[in-house]
Amino acid sequence: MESRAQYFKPAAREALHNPDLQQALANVQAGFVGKRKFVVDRFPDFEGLRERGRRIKDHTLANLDVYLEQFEAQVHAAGGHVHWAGTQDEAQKIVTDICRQADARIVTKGKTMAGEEVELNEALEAAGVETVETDLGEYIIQLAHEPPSHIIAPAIHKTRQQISDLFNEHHHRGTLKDKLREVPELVDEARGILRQKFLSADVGITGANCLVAETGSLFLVTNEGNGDLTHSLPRVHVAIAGIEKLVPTLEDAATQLRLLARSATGQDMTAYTTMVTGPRRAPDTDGPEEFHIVLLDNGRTRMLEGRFREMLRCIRCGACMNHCPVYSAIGGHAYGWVYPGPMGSVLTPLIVGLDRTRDLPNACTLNGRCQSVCPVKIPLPDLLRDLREEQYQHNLTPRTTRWGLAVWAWFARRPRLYNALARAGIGAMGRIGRRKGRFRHLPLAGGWTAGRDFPAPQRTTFQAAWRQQRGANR
Amino acid sequence: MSDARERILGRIRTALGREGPPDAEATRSARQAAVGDGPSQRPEWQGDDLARFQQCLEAAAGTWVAVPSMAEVGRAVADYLAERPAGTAVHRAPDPALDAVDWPDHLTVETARDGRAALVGVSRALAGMAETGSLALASGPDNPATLAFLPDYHIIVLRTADVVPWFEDIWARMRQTDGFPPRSFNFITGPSRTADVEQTLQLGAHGPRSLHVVLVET
Ligand code: SF4
Repeated sequence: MESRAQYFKPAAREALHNPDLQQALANVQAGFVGKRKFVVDRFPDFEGLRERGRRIKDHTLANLDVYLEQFEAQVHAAGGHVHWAGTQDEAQKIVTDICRQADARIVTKGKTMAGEEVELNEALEAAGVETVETDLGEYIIQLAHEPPSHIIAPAIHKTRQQISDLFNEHHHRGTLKDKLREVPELVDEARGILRQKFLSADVGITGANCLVAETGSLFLVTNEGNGDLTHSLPRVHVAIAGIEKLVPTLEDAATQLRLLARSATGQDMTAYTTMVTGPRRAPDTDGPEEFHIVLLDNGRTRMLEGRFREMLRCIRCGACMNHCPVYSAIGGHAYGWVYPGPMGSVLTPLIVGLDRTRDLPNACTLNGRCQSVCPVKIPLPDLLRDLREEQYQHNLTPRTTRWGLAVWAWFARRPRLYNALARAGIGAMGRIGRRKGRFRHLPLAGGWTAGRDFPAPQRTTFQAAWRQQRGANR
Repeated sequence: MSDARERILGRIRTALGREGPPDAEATRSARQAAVGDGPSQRPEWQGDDLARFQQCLEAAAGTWVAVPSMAEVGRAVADYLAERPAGTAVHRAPDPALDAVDWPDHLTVETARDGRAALVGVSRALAGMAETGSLALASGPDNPATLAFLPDYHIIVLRTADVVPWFEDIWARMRQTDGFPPRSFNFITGPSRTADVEQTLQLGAHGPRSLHVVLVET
C-alpha cells in the first residue's frame, strides 16, 4: 500500500476517539503481553537465548553475500527457482509473470509482510488474477479493503460485529437474517469459503519466517494451517522474503523458532512450523510442481551499509508493538504503512523515505520497553533517536522545533548566562506557582499543558541543588 | 532477472567492504566464533522425555493414547472415532510401518495419495519432539503432506522410541536420513487454531479440528 505516514497526527487523534479500537487494543495488552511473560519466565535462560539470536543475525548480516549464494545453490539443487527483486516494481513483475505463465485464475495467499510491502495483491488484481488471503485476519481486512494493523494479528482492530457484517455482505449479499454472532460460527464460515479456494487455486503465495542457507529451505510458522494448504495444494508455490531473513544452519533456525513463537503469541511452538524445500519430488503424490522464491531487497542493502544495520535483525514477531504505550493508545493504522509500532517507526522512514514519515521517529517516549522485549535485542529507541538526528541534518524537523533548539543551544554554550537565566526563571515560576503547586497553562508550552498540568518547580535549579548537596556531603 | 542479482550482491559487498571473493571456510569458523560451541539455550525438564512430550501435547490441545504394538493401532483409531461424529471411513498414509496395523472390520480403510477426500487421516510421524510436544512428519509418497492438513480428524502414529528431547536431536537424526530435506517437513503441535476474531482462541481454523496421537510402545 501507498504510505500514509505523513498523516500520522490526525490519524492518531482519530484513533484515540474510536471506542471499538480502544476495546480491541485493550485485548492486545491483556492477551499478548501476559502470555509472552508466562512462557518467557518459565524458559531457563531466555536472556541467553536472545543474545544467541542477536549474534546469529549479526553474523549472518556480516556475511550476507556468502549465505545468499549458498541458499541459492541449495534451492537450485532441490529443483527450485530463485528470483532477485531490487524494488517493489521488480517483485511485482516477477510474481505476476509467474502467475501468467501458470495461467493462474485463482491465487491463494498465506500472510506475507514482504508481500504487503510491495503491494502484491494490487499487482495481481491488476493482472486479472483473483487473489485470496487465507490467514483469517488477512482475509477479514481484505474484505474490508484495509491494511493490517498489527504484523501478526492483522485484523486485531475489528470487532466481532464488524466481521459478522463483512461476512454477511460478502458471502450472502447482505441477505442473512440471523447474522453470525459467535466466534466459532464466524471461523467455520470462513473455513468453508476458503476451503473451496484452497482446492481450486492455481498458485499459492507465502512469505517466509526464515530462510536456511544450509539446506535452501524456508520456514513457515502458522497456527491456522493456511500456510501449508497454500503451498501444498496448487501447482505452483511462490514464496517472497526479504534478504535479511537468512540464517546459516538448521540449528540457528531452531534458535530463531524458539524466540519467535514465544515473543509473538506467547506459545512455545505454534501449531504448524513447516520447513519447505523445493517443489514436489519425483515419487511424491502431492505438492506443487514448481517452487519459486523471490529474494527482496527494497531498501535493505541500504540499511546494511549504515548505522541502521541492526534493524535487519528483526524477525517480525510484533513484541515491540505489543509492549509500546504509543501503539497501545492508537493502534496500527495511524502509522500509515504496513509496519506499525516501534519497528515500523524505524523501518517505514528507511524504506519509504524520511521526508514522508516525519512524525514516526518522534512518536516515541523513549521508555525502552520495546528494546527490552525484542528477541534479537534491536536498540529501537537508539535507532529512533538516530532517525531524529538525520531529520535534523536533512532539515526535516519542523521550523519551530529547530528555532527552539537553536535558541536553547545558543544559551547552553554560555553556561554562566544559562545558569543565571535558569535560576531567575525557575525562581519566578516557583514563586508564581507556589500556591497551587502546578500550572494549568504555560505560554509557549500549550501543547504540553493541553493534556496535563505542569508541576511548579521548587524554586532552585538542579545544578544549585546538586552543588549544595555535594557541599553538605563533603 | 540476473542483473538484479548482480546489483543486490554488489551492493551487499560494498556495504560489507568486501575486497576479495568471500571464503566459505572462513565464514564457517566466524559463525562458530560468534555463536559458540555449545547448543542453543533450550527448555529443560525433570523426568523422562516421553512424559514431557505427552504433557506439552496436551497443553497444545492434542490428545493421545498408548498401545503395546502397531497391530493395536486399528483398535485405538476405531475407539477414538466411535466417540465422535467422524464416520468409519479412514484414509491412511501408504507408510509401510502402518502395514502392520490390524484394522477392525467395521472401518473402511483406504490408502491415500493425498488428503483431498479424507475426513479422517492417519499419518506416521518420524519423530516426536519432547521440548514442545511436537510431531515431525516428512512429506513424500509414504506420508503425503496434504493428509496432515485437509482432514477434520488427524491421527498420527508415533513409536515411543522415536521421541527425542530437542530440535537439535531431530536435525542430527534427519541429516542421516536419505532424501532429507523432503519437500515439506512439518512440525505439528496440536490441532489448527486461530485467535483472529477478538483474540478469542478457536480450534479448527483451516486444518484439522482435532489431533490425536497413537503412541506405539516399543
Ligand atoms: S523489532 Fe524486535 S520486537 Fe519488534 S518485531 Fe522486530 S524482532 Fe520483534
